Amino acid sequence: MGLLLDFRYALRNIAKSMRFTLLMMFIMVGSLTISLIGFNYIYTVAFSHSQVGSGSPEIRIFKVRNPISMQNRFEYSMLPQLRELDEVKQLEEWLYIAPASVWVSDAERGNHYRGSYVDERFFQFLDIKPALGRFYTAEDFVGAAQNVVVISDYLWLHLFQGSKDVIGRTMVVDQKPYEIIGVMPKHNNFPIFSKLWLPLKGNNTAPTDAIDIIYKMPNETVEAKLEQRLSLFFTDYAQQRVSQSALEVDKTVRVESMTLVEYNTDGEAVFIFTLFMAGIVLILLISSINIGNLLFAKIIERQKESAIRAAIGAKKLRVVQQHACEGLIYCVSSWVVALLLTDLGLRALNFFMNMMFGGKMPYWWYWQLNTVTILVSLLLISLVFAIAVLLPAVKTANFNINDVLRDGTRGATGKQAGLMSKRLLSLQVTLVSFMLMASSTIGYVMYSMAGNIDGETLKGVYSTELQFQTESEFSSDKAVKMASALVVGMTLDPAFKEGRVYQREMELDVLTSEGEVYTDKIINIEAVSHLFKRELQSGRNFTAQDNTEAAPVVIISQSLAHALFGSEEVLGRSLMLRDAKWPSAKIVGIAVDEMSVVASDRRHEVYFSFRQYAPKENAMAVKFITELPPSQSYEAFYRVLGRLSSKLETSYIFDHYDNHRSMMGAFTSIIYVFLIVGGFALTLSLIGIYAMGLSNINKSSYEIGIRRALGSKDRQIMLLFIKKNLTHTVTGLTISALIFYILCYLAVDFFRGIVPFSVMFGAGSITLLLVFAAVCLALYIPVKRSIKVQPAVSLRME
Amino acid sequence: MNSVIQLNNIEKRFQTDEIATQALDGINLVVEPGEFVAITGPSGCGKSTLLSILGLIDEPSNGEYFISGNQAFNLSSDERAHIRANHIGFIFQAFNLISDLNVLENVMLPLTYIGGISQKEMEQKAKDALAMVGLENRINHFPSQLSGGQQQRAAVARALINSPDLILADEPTGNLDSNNAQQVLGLLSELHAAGKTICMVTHDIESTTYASRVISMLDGTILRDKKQLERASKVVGA
Repeated sequence: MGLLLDFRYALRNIAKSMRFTLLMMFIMVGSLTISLIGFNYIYTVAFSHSQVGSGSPEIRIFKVRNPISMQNRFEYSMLPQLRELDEVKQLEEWLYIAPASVWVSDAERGNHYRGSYVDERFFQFLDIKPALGRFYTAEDFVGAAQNVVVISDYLWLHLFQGSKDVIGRTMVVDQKPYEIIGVMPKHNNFPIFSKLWLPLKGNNTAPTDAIDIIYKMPNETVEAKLEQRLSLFFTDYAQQRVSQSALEVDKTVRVESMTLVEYNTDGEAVFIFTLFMAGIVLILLISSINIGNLLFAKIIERQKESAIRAAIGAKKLRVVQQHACEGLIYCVSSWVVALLLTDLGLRALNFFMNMMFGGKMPYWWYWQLNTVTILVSLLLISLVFAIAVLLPAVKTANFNINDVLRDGTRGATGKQAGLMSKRLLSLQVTLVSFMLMASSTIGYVMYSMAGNIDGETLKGVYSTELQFQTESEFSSDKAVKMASALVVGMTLDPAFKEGRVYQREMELDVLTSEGEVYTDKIINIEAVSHLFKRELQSGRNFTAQDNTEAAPVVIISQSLAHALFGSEEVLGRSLMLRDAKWPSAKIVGIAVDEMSVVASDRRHEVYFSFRQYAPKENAMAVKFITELPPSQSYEAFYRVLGRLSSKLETSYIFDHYDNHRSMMGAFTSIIYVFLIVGGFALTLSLIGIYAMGLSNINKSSYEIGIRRALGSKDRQIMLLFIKKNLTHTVTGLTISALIFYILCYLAVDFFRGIVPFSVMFGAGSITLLLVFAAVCLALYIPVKRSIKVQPAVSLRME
Repeated sequence: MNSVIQLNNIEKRFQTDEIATQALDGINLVVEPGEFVAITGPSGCGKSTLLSILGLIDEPSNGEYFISGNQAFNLSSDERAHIRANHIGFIFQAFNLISDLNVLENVMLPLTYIGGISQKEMEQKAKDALAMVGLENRINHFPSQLSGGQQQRAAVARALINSPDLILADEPTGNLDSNNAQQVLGLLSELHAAGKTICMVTHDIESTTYASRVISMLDGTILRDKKQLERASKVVGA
C-alpha cells in the first residue's frame, strides 16, 4: 500500500514539475541512447561474427606466431598430417579455407574480389541455407568435376542485378569458367568479406597455399591442448624449412586460438573493445552524476517535507523509497524511450555505414537491437538508478528532523549535503574535461594525419605483393633480375608513369652512435632495386654495382642523419644495425626529407640495396602509378607481369587512392562521432553545472537579499557567488588536466614520436580553456539572473 | 498505572564551532495519563528543545527517557520512527502539511507508516478525524486552499489519526489569529477531556489557562511546575 501511495505521489510530482521532468528525461534518454548505440556498434564490430547459425558455439581461428621465420600460416600440404592429430580428431566441427584474391572478368572488363576456396563441410559448418540455388555436394570436389562457384548477395546484385536466372550461368574467375550454383544469404561474407566461394581441391590449389583453420570452440581445456599440440606440430614443420642460423634464435612457434576479429586486429580486439566500452561507461557516469546532482537538488528542496514525514513516523527506508519512486519512474520511462531511439539509431547507422563502405564491410557488421543490447540496457539503467537515484536518496535521508523543521530548507541542506553536491560537481567536471581533452586530441591527430596526406598525389597509385611459386625458385639473383625486369617493363609501357619493386617489413634495429637501439621515432625501412631513384640532398643513389655481394651501402633521410649524428658529416660513415644481415652499412646518400602524415613531422627513412638485403621469403612488393582507371591499370600491370619469364603470383592489388578515400571517410566519421559524443557530454555537464549554480543561488536568495539590502553592489555579489562555485569546477579541471598531461607524457614513448607531446599538450590545453570558458558561462548566467530580482522580493522568498 | 512521560536528568548541549550552549540542564519530569501540560517560558529557555526530545525528533545529550514505561533513549532511528508513528501525535506551529497532498491524504499519512491497514480503512479513519475537527467538507482541498485555522485543524486531525498516547503541540496557535486560536485550543481541550495526554509549548499566557498543569522554564531548567484548575472543558462546554 505504502509503495503504491509513493508511486502515486511521485507521478503527481513529475507531472507538476514538467520542465524538470523533461530535462531529466533528455539527459537520461540521450546518454542511454548514445551508450547503447555505441555498445551495439562495438559489440557488432568486435564480437557478433560468432553468431553464425542460431545458438552455435563461438567460431574461432588459429593464428601462428613464428619468430624464426616469415612463415606464419598453415599450408595446404600440412593437411594430411594435421587431420591425423588426435587433438584435431576430437574437434566436432572444423574446416579449412584458403583466402584468395580472384580476378572476375567478362569480355569487356574485370575486377578483383576477395574470395575463399573452401572445403566441402563449409556450408554445413555455417548451418545456413542458400538464398538461391544450392551449396556444394561431395561431387563438386572431385578433381574432374565441373568448376562451380557460390556467389555473395553483393555480387549477385552488382554483377547480375539480382536476376533469378543467375543459377547455371557462367562466371570467369582467374580466366577459368565457373558455373554459378548458388547465392549466399544477405549479410554473409564468411569468413570476413568473401564475395565468392570456390571448392578447395587438389587441382586448383598449390601445396604451399596458405590455409586458415576455423573451428567451433568445444571448451577451454580442449582448446588449450589443441593450441599446444598445433604449436609443436608447426614448430616441427617450420624447423624442417628454415636455415640453421635462424634456428639458433631461442624462440618457438606459438599457435593461438582467436576470434575472427582478434585475428584481424592481431589479438587486440578485446583491448579495443574495452577501451571503447570505458568511453561509453564514462559518458554514462557523467550523465549519472548529472542526474544524481539534479535529483539531489530536488530532494534537498523537499527536505522539509521529508522531515515532516519522518516526524509523524516514516522510517528512513520509507523516506528513501519515497524519493526512489520518482527516480524509478524517470529511469523506466527513459529506458523505454531510449530503446526505441536506439532501434531507430541503429537502423540509421546501418544505412549510413552501407552508404559509406558498401561491400567493404565484414559480413557481421549489421547493427540491430538484439537481446545482448537489451540486457546491457538493463544493466546500464540499473547503474544509473544506483548512482543517480539511490545514492542521493540514501544520502539525503540522513538528516536531523529537528534541524530541518526548525530551519526549513535552509538548514536542511546542511554543510554535509552541500559538500556532497559540490564534490559530485568536481567529479563531473573532471570526467567531462578529461574525456573532451582526450577525444579532441585524438580527433586533432587524426585530422592532421588526414590533412597531411594530399589525396590527389595518391590518384593512380597501386601496390601489390609478388610471390614466387616455390622458395627454391627464389634466390637473391633471381629476385634482382625479376625486380629489374619488372621495373624496366613498367618504364617502357606507356600506361605507367612509374614502377618500383622493393622489399618491406624488414625486421632489424638501427643503433645510435652509443650502440643503443634508436626508439625515438618509427623508421621506415625498405630494400629497393638500383632502378629506384630517390631525391637526394647529397651523395648518390644505388647503382647496378650495389646489387652484388659488395660491401653493404645505405641511403638515409636527412632527419634520421641529424637524429643519429647531429651536425657531423654523415656521408661515408657506417650505419650500425642489429638483427640484420650485415652489422653495419656504409651511408652513400642522404635523402631529402619527406613529411610524415602526422603533425607535419619529418619522416625517418632507411633504404638498402635490394640485392644486399634480399628477403628471406619468396616475395617482393611492387608499387606503380598510372593515369588509367583502376580496372585498366590492373590489366596493364598483368600485361607486364605476363611478359616475365617466371610465373609470379600476385596478392590483392591495393588502390592507394581508394584506400585514402575510405580512410578519410572513416576519419571523418570518427571525428563526427567524437564531436557528437563530446558535445553531448559537454552539454550534459553544462546543464548540470547550470542547474547546480541555479540551485545554489536559489538557496542563497535570502542571503543575496540581505547583502543587497545592506548595500552590496551587484558586481560584488556576482563575484562572490561565481567564486563560490568556481572553486569546485577549477578543482575538477585541474585534476583532469594533471591526469591528461601525465598520460600524454607517457604516451610519447608509446607512440615512438609519431605524435609529439607538444601536439597533445596543445590540443588538450585549448580544449581545457574552452571547457573553462563554458563552465564560467554556465555559472555566470544564474547569478546574473538572480541579481535582477529586487532585494525585497529576495527577502520575501525566504 | 505507568506515567506517559518520565524524564530523568535530561541534558541537551549544542556545540557550534566555538560556542557551546546548554539548552536543557538536568530536566526531571513525569507526566501522567490524561494530563494537559503547558510548557512556557521566554524565547531560548529550551521549551521547544524539550518538546523535540519528548517527540523523539531530537536526542538528549544525557539522561533517560521513558514513554508509557518503555525506554525511549539510545534507540535506533527506525525504532524512534516506530514510536512516533504508533504512540505520538504532532501539531506544529507552522502546520507542516505537505503541500502536494490533499487534506485527506495528509491526514491519513501516519497510517501509511504504520502499515497493515487497508486503503479503505485508512480513508474512513481520516474522514472520521476530519469530521471531529469540522473539516469533513474539505477532504479534497489542498493545504494552499485552506485558511490558517483550517490548516491547523487538519494538522490536529493528522495528529489524532493514530490514536496516540501522547499529543505534542509546538506553539499550535502561534501562526493563528485569536478566533482560530480559540478554535484550536478548544479542540485540544476536547481531546484532553476525552482522556488524551497533551504537552503543549506556548509563550501565550492565555493558552496556558486551558492546561491542567503549567511548567515554566528558564535557561534550560524547570523554574515552576504548577497544577491548576481545568478550564478547557468549561470553555468548550460554554
